[in-house]
Amino acid sequence: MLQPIIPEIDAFLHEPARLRVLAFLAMVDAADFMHLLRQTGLSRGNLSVQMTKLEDAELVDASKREVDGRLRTAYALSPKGVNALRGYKATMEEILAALPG
Amino acid sequence: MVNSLEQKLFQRYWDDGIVDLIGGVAVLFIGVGYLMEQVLAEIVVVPLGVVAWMILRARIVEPRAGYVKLSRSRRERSGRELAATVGVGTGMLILFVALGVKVRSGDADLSRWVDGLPALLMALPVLMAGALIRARRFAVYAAVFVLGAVSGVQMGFGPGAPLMVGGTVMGVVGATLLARFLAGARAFQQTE
Repeated sequence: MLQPIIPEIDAFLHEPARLRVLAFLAMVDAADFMHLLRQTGLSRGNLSVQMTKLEDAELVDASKREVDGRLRTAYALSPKGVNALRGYKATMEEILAALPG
Repeated sequence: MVNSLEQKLFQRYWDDGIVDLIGGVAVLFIGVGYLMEQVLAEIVVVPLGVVAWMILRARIVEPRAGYVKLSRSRRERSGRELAATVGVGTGMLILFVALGVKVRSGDADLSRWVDGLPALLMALPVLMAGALIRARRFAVYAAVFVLGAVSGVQMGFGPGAPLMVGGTVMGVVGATLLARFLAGARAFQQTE
């Protein structure tokens, strides 16, 4: 059987909400939940679900920090997350290059 | 594409108006210092301004907009640019103090052009600070300082007045941006 020419897209990373979060975290060293909420435009519930999934997949690392006596969770891309995004970007560049300009 | 998004994020980081507000108050303070002939008081303005910015950012902005740590490459680049801006700003302050002392010592030949020089010199670090945080409005502030310096000399105002005008413009714009930021944060919380 012939191998497909079009490479397989990582469906987990390709999900729009998760991709927005990951793209944002790729630009910064870390951001807390509130900042991600403001910058991605996702709802609180959706972001919470996506962050749990990303943590479970070990694509992001979470750390707690205290601000004015309240614990806040800061998120950063894990090394596994960085590698996954590199692979995703290479795949998408290959696919997007085939599209009409 | 990522670069342009990161650039947008960096610009937004400064859009809360706090840096304008603190900068404006600091320049206003320098202008008042000239009026009261307390030129040496200017030396404390820069470190106090930096501390005030850190406190206000942590107390006002972060609880509403959240915390973000910019990328290392951005922080290193900003650090280099900040060092250059602080260097120029410190040089201007030293020059201000020297000129202030000279004027106080009663050198009549210097007094006319010296009156406009502080505001003229202030335009340079303000322009550099605008380039540092990628905020075009700082070019307008710099223009206000230059205009203030020229018109101040022509109208015979002292060196403090143009600084106070420029500082007030910066402060008012900063307060307006901060009010807009707070209103936006309230609206965001209500839609949540």
